[in-house]
Amino acid sequence: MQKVIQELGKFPGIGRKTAQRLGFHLLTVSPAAVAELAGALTDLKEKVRECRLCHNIAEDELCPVCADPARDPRTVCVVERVIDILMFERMGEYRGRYHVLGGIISPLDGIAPADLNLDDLTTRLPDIDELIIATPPSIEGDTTAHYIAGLAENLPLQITRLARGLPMGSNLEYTDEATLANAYSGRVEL
Amino acid sequence: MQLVDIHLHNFRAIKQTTIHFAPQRTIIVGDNGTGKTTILEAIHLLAMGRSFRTSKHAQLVQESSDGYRVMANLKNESRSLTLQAAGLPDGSRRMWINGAPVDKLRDILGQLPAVTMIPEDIALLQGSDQERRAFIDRVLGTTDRRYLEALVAYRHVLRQRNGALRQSGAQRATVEIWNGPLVAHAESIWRKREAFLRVFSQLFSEAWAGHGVGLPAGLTYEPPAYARADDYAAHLLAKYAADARLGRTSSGPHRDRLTVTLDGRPSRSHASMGELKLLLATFKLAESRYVRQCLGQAPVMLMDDLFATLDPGRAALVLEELSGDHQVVITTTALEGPLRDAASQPGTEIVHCSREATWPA
Repeated sequence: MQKVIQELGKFPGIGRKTAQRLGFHLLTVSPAAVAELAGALTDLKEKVRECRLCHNIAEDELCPVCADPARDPRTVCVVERVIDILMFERMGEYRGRYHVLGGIISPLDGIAPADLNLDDLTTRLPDIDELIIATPPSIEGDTTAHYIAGLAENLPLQITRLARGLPMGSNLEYTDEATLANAYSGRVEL
Repeated sequence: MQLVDIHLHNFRAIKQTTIHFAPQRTIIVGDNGTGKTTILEAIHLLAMGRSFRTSKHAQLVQESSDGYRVMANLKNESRSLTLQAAGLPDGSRRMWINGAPVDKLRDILGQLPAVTMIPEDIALLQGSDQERRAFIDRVLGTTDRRYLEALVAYRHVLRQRNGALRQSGAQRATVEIWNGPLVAHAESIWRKREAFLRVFSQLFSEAWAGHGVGLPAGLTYEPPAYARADDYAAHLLAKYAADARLGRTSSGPHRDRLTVTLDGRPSRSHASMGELKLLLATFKLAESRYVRQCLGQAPVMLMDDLFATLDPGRAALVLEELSGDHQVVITTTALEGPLRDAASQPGTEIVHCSREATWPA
């Protein structure tokens, strides 16, 4: 029991109390359910690997997006983490492919450009028409975006960056000035 | 905004006290160690979000208590406002405006415009350029939010660039990707500092002229020769080897100089102690005028141990200058000279501090 609680407590967002609750919950469920969870966990490590092309999670050599012939291979969206792909897919509008960097440039956290999946992005660049950079709107995200744009400098492709502005359903009164300034400078014609 | 009262609970040595302020002058009288400065410190905390005595927030919490609370009521012609701060022994703190929690500390800036003069401020004249840069950053940062944002961003990029310089096997390209954002933020800092110093040095000279000292005094702002976006970008490229050797960025707005001159010579080496004290008072008068210009309201003046900074004759002139639209809170060990005269005037409140009154058992 102690061991289970200790292991559960290592998860992000799980404190000691929640770990205890989850541990005691496991005692009450059927052996089959626990076996299923244990199997799923083992499978996760055995079966899930990185997509050879975009570094998304995959069961095969290619992830479902890269393997899908309906997805436009000449449009690539660059994201920081795998979880960002999940958000894009939930949006449902995007029909291109992805490239996961695996981080953003931040010397203070010991992350240099060499630590990111940039080499194979560079090899993909000649086959791309539009590169959408979706790094987070922060100093590090901006710097990473500019670094990537530099890699593609002499190639005939369009490079775009996600717009930044006001969140849906928000109130101008509660918007911070930096966000408002961004939204203002990126205003669009009606 | 005018201070109406302040309530302190477990704040430094003060267990519990409430001070009421007069619209014009409040004179806090008491022996050393009776908590006079602590009251100013609490007002400053609500005005600026930090103490003027320490950067270690835990020191503000009374020993063996579970945390402090400070609350001030303010008002002007049209509205009233309550500012609150609470801190825990672990150094964490929270602030509220009218009972609503403040997310970013910078949101509290400007709610209670205040100018503080403490004896230690003499470092502004005797200390290094860093002291005077800090002065510019504080005054501009509390009156111009875009400046504060540029400054915070600049420092952040600077840390990243220095980190890149120190990374083992650092490559030139991985350092220079930070040049772009560094230059952009540096450019806005320089332009805003220039505009500020144009206005501020004018106010400084005017305030100095009011003292009737024969010698002229002034401020000289000297940004580095490369203080233009294009020049700075080129300078960073040229200094790469030196920066890589040092492991830090050797150029930028963090090298700006501000010199105070008296009769054309640097006051740091050429002014007498009396002249330095008068120059300090001039800084503070100019600051109060600048804040009033920017925010449209006269700041509250917090003057700690007035006679430690000014002799009675000068103090009388400064008080005269501030009478009218400034609310002034002064601490002193003795009610003498111009303070004795002021005490008898209407609109003045005298608060006596003693161990018994401020530290009740």
